[in-house]
Amino acid sequence: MNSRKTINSIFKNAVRLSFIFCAGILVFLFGTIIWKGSAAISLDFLTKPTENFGAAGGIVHQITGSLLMILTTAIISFPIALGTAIYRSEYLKNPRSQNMADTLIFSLNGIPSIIFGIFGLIFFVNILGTGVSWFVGSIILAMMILPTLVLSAYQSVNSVPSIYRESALALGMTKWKVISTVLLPKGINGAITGLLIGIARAIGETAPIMFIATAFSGVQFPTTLLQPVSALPTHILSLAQQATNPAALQNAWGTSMVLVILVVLFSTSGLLVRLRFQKK
Amino acid sequence: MIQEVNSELKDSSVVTKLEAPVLNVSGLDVFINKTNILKDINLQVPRNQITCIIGPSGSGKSTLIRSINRINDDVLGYEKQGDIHFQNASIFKKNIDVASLRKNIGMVFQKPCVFPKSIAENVLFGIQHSKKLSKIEKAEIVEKQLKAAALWDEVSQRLDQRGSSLSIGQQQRLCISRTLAMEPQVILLDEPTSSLDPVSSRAIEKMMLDLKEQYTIVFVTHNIQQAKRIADRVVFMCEGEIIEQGTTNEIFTKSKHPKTRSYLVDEYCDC
Repeated sequence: MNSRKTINSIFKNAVRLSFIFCAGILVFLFGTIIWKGSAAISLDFLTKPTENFGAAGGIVHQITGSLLMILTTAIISFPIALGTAIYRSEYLKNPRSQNMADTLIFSLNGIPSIIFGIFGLIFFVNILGTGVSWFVGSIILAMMILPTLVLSAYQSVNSVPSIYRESALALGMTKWKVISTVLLPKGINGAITGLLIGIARAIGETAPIMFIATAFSGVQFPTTLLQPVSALPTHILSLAQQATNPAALQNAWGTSMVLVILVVLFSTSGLLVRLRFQKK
Repeated sequence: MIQEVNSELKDSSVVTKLEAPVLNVSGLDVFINKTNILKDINLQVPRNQITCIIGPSGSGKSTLIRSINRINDDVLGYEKQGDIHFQNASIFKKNIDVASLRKNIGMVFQKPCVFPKSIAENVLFGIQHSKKLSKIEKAEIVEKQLKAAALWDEVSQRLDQRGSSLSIGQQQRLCISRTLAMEPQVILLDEPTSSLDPVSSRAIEKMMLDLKEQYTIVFVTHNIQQAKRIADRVVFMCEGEIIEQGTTNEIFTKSKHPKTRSYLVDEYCDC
């Protein structure tokens, strides 16, 4: 009896410890970034362009560049992901093709982000001759986050109980009507959640965009699709390379803090959207 | 020999008196994943009557009525042989419009399924996709069909509340009124009262008796007493076969088959 209680309490404390460890990492990370970064943050830092390779001036073009790429990524990936999820859930009935589709989606998810970067460089920049372009960067990021969106949307479309499909079909509705009026409203919830998770990941990615979409200095807000932008993660990379200069290092912390805040914003808004949809 | 001819004559005269059946199932065999679920089903459903299909669970009652509106088409591994005619046309004909078939053959399921919308929108859910309706027409349909499903008095003051706020029994009547709004010829009901309390069940039974004036009803139930109360004709199924069918009186008072008799008495089928 006693030993059972002991085992119980050992187990309970062990899982509690893992939780504390996990939360501790997060608190330590956020704490450091805020502590080091807030010294760099000022209104000028957020609204002025970069000077002296980042050691002076602000990061306004990095912020707008990242946001522009991310929004475009969302617009490209969202409909494709929703379509794929619906096709996988509602039209692929044969177990073999279902397996094949899943394998494809998981393989796409497993591709390291640097491979996307190299692919973009070879296919778009070299073969298609687009040059370094923020739009190509958005396309590549959209490919990269596609599996996250597809899986999230698929799970929510597929979890709609089949009685809803049958009830709608039994009322003489066509498959398209059933999908658009019954399944999409339910599936869109998961797709948006997936989108915000995917975007939170994509905005921090450096490897896929550093060769194909961004330039480190002398960049303005783009006026065409085929111009480079500056982005937050690649800016942090270039500042880190000048770490011997204390001013550059401080700006690297400041830029990191802005990036982390943006990621947190996307994640929490994802949560809020989800809660609103659940209430409806 | 003469007797046989006589009985055939008698049968055919009964059929002509009842006019042609609305539904005619002939030699239907259904396989799901190569398992023979329905075996040589022959069944005629006469107009404006309640045909009750009874039998133990697993006897193929649901599979049979789910074949009639082709909702089983999407079931993985579904195959069929034989034919079903609805108003003298095969429902399995190539290039038939399955959606419009289902507008004519409505279905109510075992578990009520209301859509996450208001009560009024639930009534209109199917019909508004097949017809353009004015606001006035919509209000008329909602009132008429909720009255037909004996729900109007309970919900008339809260039509814009969510359908899911109703009790299960009310939700099932909402599902019935949604089906009635399509103005089908036939209504298939797959154990519609099995998840309901006795009061709601009786309300639905009473409703069925009113509705048969206008509709042809096929009602699947495993509740023998319920069949006795509402059925005009009874079909007894066991292990995927129709063991016996006839008028309610024939089945309950002078059933010919020992399996039927034992099921009616013990609710148990030794097939």
